[in-house]
Amino acid sequence: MILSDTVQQHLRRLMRTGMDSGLARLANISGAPWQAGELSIRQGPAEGLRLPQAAGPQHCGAIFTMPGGVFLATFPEASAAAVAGAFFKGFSKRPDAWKGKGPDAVAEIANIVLNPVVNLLGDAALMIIFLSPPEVRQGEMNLLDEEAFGKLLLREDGQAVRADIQIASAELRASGAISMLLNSALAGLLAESLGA
Amino acid sequence: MPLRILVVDDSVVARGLIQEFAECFGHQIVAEAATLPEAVAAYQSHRPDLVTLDLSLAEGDGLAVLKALRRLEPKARILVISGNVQQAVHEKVQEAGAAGFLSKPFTLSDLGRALTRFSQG
Repeated sequence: MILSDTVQQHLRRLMRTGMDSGLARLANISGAPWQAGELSIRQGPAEGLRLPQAAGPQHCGAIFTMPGGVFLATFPEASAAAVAGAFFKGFSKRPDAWKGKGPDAVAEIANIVLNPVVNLLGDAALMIIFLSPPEVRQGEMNLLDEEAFGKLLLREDGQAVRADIQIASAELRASGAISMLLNSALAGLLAESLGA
Repeated sequence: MPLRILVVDDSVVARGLIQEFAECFGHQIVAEAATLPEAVAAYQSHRPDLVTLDLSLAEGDGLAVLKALRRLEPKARILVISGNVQQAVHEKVQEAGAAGFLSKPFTLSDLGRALTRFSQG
């Protein structure tokens, strides 16, 4: 066990707060309200935390790394197009000039949405965290998940923590998911800070 | 006075939006960069009036770029534009000599206000 129940509760609260700020940003960006679903936290050997292999619809994803952790933001293709389209329409005077830049826009949006969560994690772990630039990917959900896990630098114990939250906007008819993966070192740091 | 601006950001979308917004106010983007080496080279070539700088970059984080540019030109004016609002990061950015901070997402008027401040001073 990496995180005790108490620490998990603190982490849940912290991520909720961060996601609320992130979704407020996303509402501002997309011009439509967004809601977050239940936040799930699982932990154990990293192998057991991966999504099962299963064919599914294409997604647009952005992978971000930080020391000891990885974030994966994914949107089904139609949702990604809706979010990017709303972003360009709301922010640019020439929304048609951005053809082909949808995935890059989704990555930039994901970066903006994730930063409040990352900032709170950094404050909690008493460290400055810079997210890497996003790596933009398109593919089936389990393949994006596999790639995100591949970027998580596991310690010798092979243990990891995984947090997932679904997000959706009824008005935009769009949905997405945010996953956070932590290795045991970063999870341990957070446990020390949050468990007091 | 119109500003000659160097935009440093890893995101092609962010660079494009900053350019579009800045041009709305009559400013000129003289160069774009996505990495620390590109930023330093572009600064040396163009000597811009202002640098807009993201903190997440592929090669060297924005803080390293900020320090490198200020070493190169101690009077360099650098506006950090980032989604990172961690207090400790703000402090580091200020210590390193940033002239301003604008958080993402920003609107046309947010950037306009920031650029007006630099163009008047």
